[in-house]
Amino acid sequence: MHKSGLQLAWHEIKNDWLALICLFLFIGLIAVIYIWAFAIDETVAGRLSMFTMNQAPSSQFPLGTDPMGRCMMQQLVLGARNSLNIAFVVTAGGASIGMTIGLFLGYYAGHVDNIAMRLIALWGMVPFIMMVVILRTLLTIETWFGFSMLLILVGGWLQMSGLVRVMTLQQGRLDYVSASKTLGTPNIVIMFREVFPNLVSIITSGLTLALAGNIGAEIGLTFLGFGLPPGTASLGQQLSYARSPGTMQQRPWQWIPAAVLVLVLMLCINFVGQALNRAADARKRSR
Amino acid sequence: MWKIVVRRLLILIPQLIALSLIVFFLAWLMPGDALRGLLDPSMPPGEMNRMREEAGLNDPWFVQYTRWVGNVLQGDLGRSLQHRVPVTRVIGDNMMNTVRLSIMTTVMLYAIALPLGLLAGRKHNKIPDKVIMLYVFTFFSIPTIVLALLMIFFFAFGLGWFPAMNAVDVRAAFEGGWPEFWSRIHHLILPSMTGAILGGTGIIYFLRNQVIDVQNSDYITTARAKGTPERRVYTHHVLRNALLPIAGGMGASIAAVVAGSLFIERTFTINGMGQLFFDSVLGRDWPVANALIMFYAVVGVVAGLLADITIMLVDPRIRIK
Repeated sequence: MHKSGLQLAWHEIKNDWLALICLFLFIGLIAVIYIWAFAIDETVAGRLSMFTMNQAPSSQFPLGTDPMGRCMMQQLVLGARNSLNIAFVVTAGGASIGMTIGLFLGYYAGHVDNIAMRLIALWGMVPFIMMVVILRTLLTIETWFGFSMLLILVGGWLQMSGLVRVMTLQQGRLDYVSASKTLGTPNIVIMFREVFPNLVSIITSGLTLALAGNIGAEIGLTFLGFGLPPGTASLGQQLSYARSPGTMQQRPWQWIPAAVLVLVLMLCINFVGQALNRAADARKRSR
Repeated sequence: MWKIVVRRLLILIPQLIALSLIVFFLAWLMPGDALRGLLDPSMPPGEMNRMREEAGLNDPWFVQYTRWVGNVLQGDLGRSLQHRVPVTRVIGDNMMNTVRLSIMTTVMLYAIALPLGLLAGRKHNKIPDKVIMLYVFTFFSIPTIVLALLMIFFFAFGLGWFPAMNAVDVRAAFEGGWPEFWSRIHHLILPSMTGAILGGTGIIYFLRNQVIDVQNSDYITTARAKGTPERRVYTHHVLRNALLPIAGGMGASIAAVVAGSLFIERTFTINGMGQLFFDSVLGRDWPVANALIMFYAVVGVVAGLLADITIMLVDPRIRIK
C-alpha cells in the first residue's frame, strides 16, 4: 500500500517504543510548559525581593530562588517557554524560506541554480555565531521576536534550502514531472502540489534537527550575552548563572534544572528525529 | 593530479574575493573608522577631519575597498581600538591557545570516533552497537555550553581532577619547559574532551553506516570465501573503504572544531581567538572583530579546499582525467 510521508513517519515512530515514549514525553512537556506559563502572572512572578535572594529549595520554593529573589520554578517555566517560542519560530520561519528557495533552485536547476548555490555557499562561509553576534550588537533588538528574525535571516534557512534543493533536483528528473509539464500544469503547481509532498518525510526529519539546533543557538547566544535582551527569562539566561564559579558550586539549583530540561528536550527530539530519519530513507525502513 | 589541485585552487579566488566583500561590508556597517584608534583628546578640532581626508576615508567605497585589500595582503589589518597596537599583534597573542585547543580536540575526536564507529559497525545490532548508538543520539545535539558546564561541575569542581578555567597555570608558565607543557595539557583535557564528545557523534554514526554498507558488498563476501581471516577482512578490506569518506570529511570536522572553540573558550575562560572575538565585540573594538571573522571564514574555506584535495587523493574514482 502506498503511504504518504506523514503516514510513513507515524508508522516508524509507532514501531519504535523509545521514539514513541519520547514523542509523548516531548508533547507532554511542551503542553505543561505552555499551559503553566500561561497560568503564571508574569508581573507577580518577576517581582524582585531582597528577602528571598538565593534561597535553597524549600517547600515554598521547590527549586529555590534566583539572585533576584524570584521563584526558580516559575522562572524555569517562563524561560523554557521563551526559549521554545524562539526555537519554534526560527525553525518554522527558516524552514519555510529554505524550502521555497530549495524548491525553486532544484526545480529550475541550470544557471540560476549554479549562481545561487555559489552565493549561498559564500554566505555559509562566515561562521553563523560570529555573524549573529556582530549583527546583534550593531542592530537594536528589543524583543524575542526580533531576535528570532535575526537568527532566521543569518542562518535559519541555510540547511533546509540545501536539503530541499538536492531532493528537488532528483525529483525534477522523474517522469511524473515531465508528464505534468506536458499536460500544461503550471510550474508553481508542480512544485508545491506534486514535488513537495514527496519531500515531506525528509523535511520532517530535517525539521527535528533544526529545532534542536535552534534551541541550542538561543542557549549559546544568550549564555554569551548576545541573545535575548537582558532580564528576559530563557534557558540560556538561567544557564548563564553558572558562569560565576560560586553559583555553579554552591547554588546548583539555579542552573542544573535548566540544564536537565535541555538534556531531556534534546533527547526526545533526537530519538523522534531518528525514527523520522528512517521513514525518510527507504533502505532503513522497517516493514 | 596537479591539474585537479590547480583547478580547485582557482575556485578559491572568487571565494576569497566574495568573502572580502562581505567582511568589508560588515566593517562599513560598524560605527567608527580606522582612525578612531589614534584619537587623542589633545588634538585640535579640525585635525580629525584633515586626517580622514589624508587617510582617504572620504573616497568612494571601491577605492577604499581596493586599498583595504592591498593592506590586508601586506598583512596590515589596522589598529585595535582597545589595545592601541596593530590588530595582527593582538590576534597573534591569542592565536596559539586556539591552535593548541583545536589540535588537542581533533586528536581526541578521532581517538574516540574511529574505534567506536568501527566497533558499532562490526557489531551491528548487537549490544556494543546499541550502547554506542545510545551515546551518539544522547550527545548528538546537546548544546556545547550545557555539556561544558556539566563537565566543569562534575570533573573540575566535583571530582577536582582538572582545572576549571584558564589555558595554563601561571606559575608553570613562568617556569617554562616540561612543567609548562604538562600544565597546558592538563588544562586542555576538559575543554577538548567536551569538543570531542560532541563532535565525534556525527563521525561515529557515519562510519558505522559506512562499515555496515561495506560489509555487505560483494568483495567482502569474496574475501571471506577465499578464506581470509576475519581480522584481516576488517583491517585490510572493510577499514580502508569505510575510512575513505572520513578522510574526505576531515577538513569539515576540523573547521567545525575551530568554530566550536568559540563557545568552549568562553566557557572555560581560555584566552584564545574566540574569547578575543567576544571581548572585542563587547568593547566595540571593530577592527579586531572584523579581522577575526575573516580569519575564521578563511579557515573554513581552506578546510573545504583540503577536504576536496584529500578526497581526490584517496579516492581515484573522483579524479578528473
